[in-house]
Amino acid sequence: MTTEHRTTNPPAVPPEYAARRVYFESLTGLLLAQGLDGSRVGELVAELDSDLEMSGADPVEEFGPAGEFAAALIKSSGSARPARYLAAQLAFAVSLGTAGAALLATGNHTAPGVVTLHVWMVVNVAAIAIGVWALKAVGSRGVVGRSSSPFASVGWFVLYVAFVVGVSLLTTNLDVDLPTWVAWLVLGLAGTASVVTLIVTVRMQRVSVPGNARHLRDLGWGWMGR
Amino acid sequence: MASTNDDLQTRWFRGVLEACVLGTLRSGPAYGYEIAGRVEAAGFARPKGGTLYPILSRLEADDLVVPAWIEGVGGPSRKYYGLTTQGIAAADDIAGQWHHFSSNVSKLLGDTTRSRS
Repeated sequence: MTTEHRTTNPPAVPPEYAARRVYFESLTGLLLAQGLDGSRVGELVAELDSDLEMSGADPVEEFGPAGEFAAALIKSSGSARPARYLAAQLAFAVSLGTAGAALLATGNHTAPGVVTLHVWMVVNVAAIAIGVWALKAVGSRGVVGRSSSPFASVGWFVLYVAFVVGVSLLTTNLDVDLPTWVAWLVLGLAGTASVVTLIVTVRMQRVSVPGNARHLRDLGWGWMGR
Repeated sequence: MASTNDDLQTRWFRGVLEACVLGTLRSGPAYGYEIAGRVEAAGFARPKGGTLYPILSRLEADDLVVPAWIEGVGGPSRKYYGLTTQGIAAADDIAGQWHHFSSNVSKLLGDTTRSRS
């Protein structure tokens, strides 16, 4: 008696496509890390893939190591903005810190600040959690930390903690007499600024591959949208 | 000796590749791989993508070429580059300067040849 084992493996990816995907994954991360817009990165990757499709060449042989090629492309396009992501992170931290300060100020003015302080702590802990998640997600794809800005994440947290501690010390020692509507206005503006900052940052990193480079559709950047 | 000649020409070629790319586009828009083919057809070594694409990127950033995506028939989409008005003027200017430069070099090389003989 024999037993048949039938396996249903997914269709094999041709080796040349696998090599290209590894190369383009690396190149995409490097270009995004150096501030090139996602739409431009997507165009470049599709163009280079089209070239390899015709030549059948190995990507490293044709374009050189991904790091050197990314540097040459960034230099030639004149659009490197390496400080943009750090600026966006700082804006996010400052806006959330301002929101927390506004909440605390409101509490000092209207009631004993215990409840509001708890709210502020919850907001800050949530902000830190979101920040950690975002940095981990972004950093794992080389956008922050892998190439040129390994200190961006550390700097973000140091400044953030310093800001929160500083504001906390100031507002508990001073008799803040701030009208409630001003505090809520500041809170609203800061909250809006933080959301806009996040949306703009994520949209700038959006990678879309034009044309019909089908095997590049799942480059691993799907979390940014297509 | 052949390899020395190749090295020399490779070094010269690196200096004029950007001008050559602009020159190839005077005969009409082309995509990266096609541009490399036109350069090769002119008698040079086919430029690698690692050299060619940064040049195209720089020409695009300087508004000397304008890109257009065209869907391929049964193949990948291709990004065609065409010369802009500025690009045509730059290509004409480079052509004029090259003739002047190469003419001067030819004079010098010719004089050297005569002095040896």
